[in-house]
Amino acid sequence: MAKRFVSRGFTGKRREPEAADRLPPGQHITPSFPVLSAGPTPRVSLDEWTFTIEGLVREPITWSWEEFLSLPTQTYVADIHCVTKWSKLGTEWEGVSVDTLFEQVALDPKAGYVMAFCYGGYTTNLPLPDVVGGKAFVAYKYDGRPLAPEHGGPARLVVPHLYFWKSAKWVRGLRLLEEDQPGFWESMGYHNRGDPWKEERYRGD
Amino acid sequence: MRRPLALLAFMQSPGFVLRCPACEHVVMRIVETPDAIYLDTRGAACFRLKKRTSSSPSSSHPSGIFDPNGGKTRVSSPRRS
Repeated sequence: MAKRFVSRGFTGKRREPEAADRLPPGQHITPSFPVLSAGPTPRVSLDEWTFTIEGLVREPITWSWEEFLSLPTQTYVADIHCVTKWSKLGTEWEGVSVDTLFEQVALDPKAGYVMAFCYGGYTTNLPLPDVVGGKAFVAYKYDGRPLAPEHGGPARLVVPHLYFWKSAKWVRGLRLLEEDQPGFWESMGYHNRGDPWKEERYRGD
Repeated sequence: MRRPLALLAFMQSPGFVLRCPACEHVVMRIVETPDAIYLDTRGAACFRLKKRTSSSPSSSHPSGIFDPNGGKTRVSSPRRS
């Protein structure tokens, strides 16, 4: 049975003061789920889909879709915040914790950063501490349904405590790195980490 | 001489991304931050940006550097497939 994980600030009740407390500076709440994309939506068949952990690990590992679905899953309820200033509260996802994925590989102690890489070529970089300890998961369901392609399906990384460009759509794997490297938007002036509570939108914020 | 190539434009994202319609590789990325404009022209060989004239319909984009609906921008890009 899936475990349930509730992110910072979620109480299950919708009262305005609580919603305001959950809104980082400069953000506004949207009831919709805007679709932002830097490219065409990849159409990945589940027969061909794989997810790989590589880089600074003793042995890289690749899961097929069927193998991935057999991993322990959790349900997550999280507030998400886009750098374009919309936030959506109480989104519900189902997926596999990055901690669970990392339990399947031996991480090299030198690994300090993660590069998420995706179908379609998108990348985003994250410090390792931002994806472990229950802070990140690979989601394949949203609102109880298979994740729609425009929202990153078959599967996307979700890192709710950082701006949503870090939650890479169509994720294909995680590469463990010793040194940080900028991803697709980080190399174009966006902040390297992207904490919405510190308004880390752009380089230098 | 290469034929000018209309590009795929992705505007609903943290920046503008222009891609080759044949291979979907990134031709150009543009991000405007509070203190700078970042321009990555990794997939472009040269640009021809048509000047706005008095008889041209006005661009909807405030900077006037790119108008995907007006079709005034053409980029010569190496074709990859």
